[in-house]
Amino acid sequence: MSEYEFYRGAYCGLCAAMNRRTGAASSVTLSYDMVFFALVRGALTGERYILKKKRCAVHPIKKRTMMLANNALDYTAQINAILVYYKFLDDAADEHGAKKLASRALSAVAGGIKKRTQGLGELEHGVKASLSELAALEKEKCSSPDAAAETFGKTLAICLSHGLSERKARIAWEIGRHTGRAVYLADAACDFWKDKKSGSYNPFVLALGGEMGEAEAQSVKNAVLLELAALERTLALIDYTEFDLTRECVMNVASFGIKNAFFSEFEKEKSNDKSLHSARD
Amino acid sequence: MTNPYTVLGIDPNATDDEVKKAYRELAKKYHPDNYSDSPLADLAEEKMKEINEAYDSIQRMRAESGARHAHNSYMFAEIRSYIEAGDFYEAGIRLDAVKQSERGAEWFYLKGRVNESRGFFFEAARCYDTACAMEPQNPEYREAANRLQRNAQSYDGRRAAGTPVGGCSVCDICAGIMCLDCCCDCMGPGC
Repeated sequence: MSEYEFYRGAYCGLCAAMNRRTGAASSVTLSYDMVFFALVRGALTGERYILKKKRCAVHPIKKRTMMLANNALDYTAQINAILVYYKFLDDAADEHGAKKLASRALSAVAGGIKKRTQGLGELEHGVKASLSELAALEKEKCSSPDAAAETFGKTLAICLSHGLSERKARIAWEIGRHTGRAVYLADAACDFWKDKKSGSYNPFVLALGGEMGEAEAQSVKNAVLLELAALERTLALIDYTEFDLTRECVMNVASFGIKNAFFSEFEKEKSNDKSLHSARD
Repeated sequence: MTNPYTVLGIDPNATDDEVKKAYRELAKKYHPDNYSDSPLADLAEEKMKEINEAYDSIQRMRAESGARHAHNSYMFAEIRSYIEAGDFYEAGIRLDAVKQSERGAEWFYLKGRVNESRGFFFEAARCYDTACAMEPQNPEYREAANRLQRNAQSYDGRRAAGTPVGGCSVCDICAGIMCLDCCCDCMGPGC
């Protein structure tokens, strides 16, 4: 089996886990970064994977490789529900007009989904606290991208390390932290021009005084690269036992997937901005 | 009050010896002995007083700044020893306590080290760059800035480990999909 098939299988497996654990409505919030989360969690807990070709509600005609239910997938489904709920709640507080109403409605739905998460009260408390730290930094217009990214890193660190024993929890904390930081920094970098235009909060806009020349772009890219290098070093500390494909997949996503996607998105946004300017001139 | 350097007719960057020399020459010139039988002796005396005051005030200013400089280098040496011992927390607290006006190249370099230890790479790189801009000749600051740059570039320069298919790794694709998702991910800022 190829890494690709394995990864797709994990994706389908997570979708099924969401259907099962948090209801059909929750599976629309499925994303590839949560698949990464599930695989890392599984690698940490030493999950045994079984993959089978199956039909599902989304793909009823052709059988697809699907990872069968396991604890890592179930856990990730619940974490996703919690994260999505607080995301909508935050949006409802920030957005205006129609978007606010939509976010409010969605947070109500997400709240219903979140209720199905069990025994994660303590974790939810931690997530809520670190996300409100982030909201506070955004509100006071914190100009440190690192400080803002740290709070999101902490959120994922809490989620990934919850319930693990000491050594594993320490590794999980750092993996979650670097993943959250990398995703936050990459997102903020790609949104630089959009946020600058709309006046939305973006730590890079504040830190760089709204200027993104070649030198600044390089410093932003370096920040993400250094974060990913740190993530990779941490991932290498997991004792991968059962499934070598997990290791390959997780390492590849961390080493190349996030980087390539970030670079292409960042360059696209950057050149869009340039062509806008030259059109105006 | 008139600028003491203007009174002595010298540049503020003059060395201590140059200050002394300028003072001696002026003191000789306006010495009361030279004006003992002049009706303008009182004016010369005023002039002499002004020169003495200017000289004293320059000496005082230089002593203070020397003490401050000595204090700063002692303080930074202490912060360095915390950093070498791995106590970045204490080093960070002490750095933050330094007054804005006294944050020179070394401060930015040390702040960069503290940021780097926390994994705050963006801020660390900016601190090193500022230190380098303030003291372009300092090899220690330059090396720190280059080291971060090298680490990022060596990470960027590697190739995917997966089996290449048609010139690109399969997992590049799946990871690519995953990451497009990351970049438009709902958790990020501002969207």
